Amino acid sequence: MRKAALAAIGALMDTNESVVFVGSDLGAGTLVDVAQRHPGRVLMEGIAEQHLVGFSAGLALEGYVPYVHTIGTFLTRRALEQVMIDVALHNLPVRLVASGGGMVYAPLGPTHQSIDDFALMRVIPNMLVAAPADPAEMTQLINDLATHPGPAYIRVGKGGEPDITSALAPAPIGAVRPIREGTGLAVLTTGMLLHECIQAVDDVAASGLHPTLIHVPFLVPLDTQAIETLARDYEVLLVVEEHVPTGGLTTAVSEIVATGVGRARVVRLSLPPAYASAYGSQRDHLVSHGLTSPGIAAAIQTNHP
Amino acid sequence: MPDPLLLSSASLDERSVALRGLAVDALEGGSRGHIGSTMSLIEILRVLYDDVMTFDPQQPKMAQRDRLILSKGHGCIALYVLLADKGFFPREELFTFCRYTSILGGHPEYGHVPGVEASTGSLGHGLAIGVGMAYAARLSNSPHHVFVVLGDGEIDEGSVWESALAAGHHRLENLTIIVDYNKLQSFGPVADIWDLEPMAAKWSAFGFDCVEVDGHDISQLEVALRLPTRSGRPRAVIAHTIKGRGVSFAEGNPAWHHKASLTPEDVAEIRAAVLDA
Repeated sequence: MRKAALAAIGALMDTNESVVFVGSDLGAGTLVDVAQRHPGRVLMEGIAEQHLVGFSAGLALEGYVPYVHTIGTFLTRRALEQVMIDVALHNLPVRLVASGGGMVYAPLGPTHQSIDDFALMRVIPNMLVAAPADPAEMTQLINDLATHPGPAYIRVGKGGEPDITSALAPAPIGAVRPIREGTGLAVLTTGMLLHECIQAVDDVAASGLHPTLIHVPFLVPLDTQAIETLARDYEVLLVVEEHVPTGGLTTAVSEIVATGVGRARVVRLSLPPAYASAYGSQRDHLVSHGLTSPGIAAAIQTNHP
Repeated sequence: MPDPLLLSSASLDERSVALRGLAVDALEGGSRGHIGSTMSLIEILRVLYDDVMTFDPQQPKMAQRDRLILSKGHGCIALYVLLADKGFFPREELFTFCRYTSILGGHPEYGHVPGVEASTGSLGHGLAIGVGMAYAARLSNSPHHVFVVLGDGEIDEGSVWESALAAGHHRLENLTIIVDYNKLQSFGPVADIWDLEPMAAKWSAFGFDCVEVDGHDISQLEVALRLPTRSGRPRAVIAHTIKGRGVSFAEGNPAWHHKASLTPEDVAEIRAAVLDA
């Protein structure tokens, strides 16, 4: 998905002169072809995320649309105040393209695991928060954000996801995307876990369960109307996310359901409220916390009314 | 250490006294303010707005205006005074300082105050934004210049030095930083908290073309701020100043860094001291 994001940014720069790429000491060769086509508009800055974000705010104040790209935790944690003040307080069109969303960097340990990014970004006024599920959706998002007026945070998930979303009806910024239509229980998810949820929903059909599945690519702006309808139409909303329990999609959904709009009960399936104590792969951690299709299928079976 | 002889003890001229009088209007309106941090800045901003920068108060967003970011946002009264004096907003607005419906907060905010280029307050943010603006000016071939005013205590912030590295690396000759080196921060002398010397050598080492001036001397400031920058280097102007300058009992006194709950009598004393400066 990161490759798709970078390719989309490069292509966007060919047609939109206000788009600028700001990276922080990324891998050798990143976007060098684009840099050759657009001298000065591909910046590979030092390992200085506070500067990177403030600098991008300065560019945006002058009419540029910077796509800032580095490892997610360094944008959301290291540069949090710059994101909040320099970018969001000024309501500037800076795009934070955060790689390693969730447990992608599991083997590198807790410093690199972006498991609290939704929580950190959701509390910031003006900030759009998105987690595309596949390269097609990422490409669409990168393009849509070229003209979006305020700041945006994009969680870049694991690479190699199959294309699911290009077969769907186009969705504007902020809209949920229905994936499977069923009854009783609705699964809501975001980012690359959509793929695990599809597998889980398809697997439980054998036992006669037909839950609905909704992809929520935008945590902010959240499709409140859609969530309200789900809360009315279903008894259980099972929220599946690669994030700590607090502040992410479950919290966002619960905030709506808690207003009493419907009868639904919210069930959470997430990472634990802890720094990881093991390394291994992203998949190891997802399996361990029930976030791959067997675990999600089990949660559907347990909670289905 | 800087040569103390750099600092002139001469009386302030009529304009410097008048500008300080406007600053007292804001202190009176808000019954509060960063007095010391404001008074050390007056001549730096006066020279920028009177003699150096290109701007049009009727078109505060004019594309080719020079940009000024007050990174030490707590000195905002000095900035408000110059903006009011130049007609960006009515002078009477100064009396609303920090009030609920005022455009003039205790730190300057972009979008609220005409002429304020960036919201500042948390220290160590302005230079990164200024570097971004200067880079943008280069990208769009615009001839305008970017000025960033930093406090001395502010440069304790590591983010300042990230941005200094970037400005040097990108050889942003359209960027000038000015350090309001008043030698006092909130708790006491800068030299006792974290000594910043050798100040000029630090900026030079980061790739800046560095000049030291008496920050209350109009002609020295004018020369330093108008000097063409050496090709390919940002400029650093180290302005040696006196915290609280022009308010005799506040000069060099850390207790006057910031005051809340100023009484009318306090304000009258400050006003009298300014008129006497």
